[in-house]
Amino acid sequence: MFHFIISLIGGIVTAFIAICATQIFKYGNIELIISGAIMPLLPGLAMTNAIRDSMRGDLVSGVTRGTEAIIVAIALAIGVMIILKSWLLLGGGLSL
Amino acid sequence: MIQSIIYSFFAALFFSFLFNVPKRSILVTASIAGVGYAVFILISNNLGIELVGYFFGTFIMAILSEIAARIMKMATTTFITIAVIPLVPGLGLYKTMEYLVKNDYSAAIQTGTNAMLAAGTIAMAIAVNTLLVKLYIHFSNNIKI
Repeated sequence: MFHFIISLIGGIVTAFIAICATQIFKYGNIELIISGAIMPLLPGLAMTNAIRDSMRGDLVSGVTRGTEAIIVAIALAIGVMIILKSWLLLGGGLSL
Repeated sequence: MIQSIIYSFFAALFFSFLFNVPKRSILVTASIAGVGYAVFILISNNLGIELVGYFFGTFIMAILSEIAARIMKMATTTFITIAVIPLVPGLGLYKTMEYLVKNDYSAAIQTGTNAMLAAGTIAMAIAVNTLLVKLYIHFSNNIKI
């Protein structure tokens, strides 16, 4: 499938599980849970490869990798943001 | 500080299980992550500038990865990709999203700029180290005494 859809679903599931768990167990910090859980999904390797390709002279490859990394990061942010915004609109708080 | 070093050691250890690296490189990768994180904490606490800490922490990690790759006859990216993971600013990206959700745009731009600069600095440190090694190999092969 596309990277965009995968990252979007990953962000949504991460935020949903974090909020549900903190509401059920009444313990924990949503910020730290989400920011730790999205670490495997962040495109760190793609960003590094993009800059390395650009500095070596493979400009087309560098721009392609960089665009992919930025799109994946934005999709992840949108996925987390949908759930957080709905949770705030429903009247929940971000910290217990 | 000791606590953070131990945490980053174990983070790199379990990320290397996640990425399916060869078994004999796992402990070396985790040790490189711990040393680089120690350098990052030392420099960013003493100088007060986080970006310099990011640069030199990643730079030390890259140098150690090159040495380990030469000794163990494996690829450099096996070590550096996983060792750099504890430094990636995930909390900054989350904070940016949270401020955007709360309609606090100036704080969002401030945090987001910091996070993007940190990610760019990490990538730049790895790229600079790769270029320096390539340059060193090039010149040491071409100069014959």
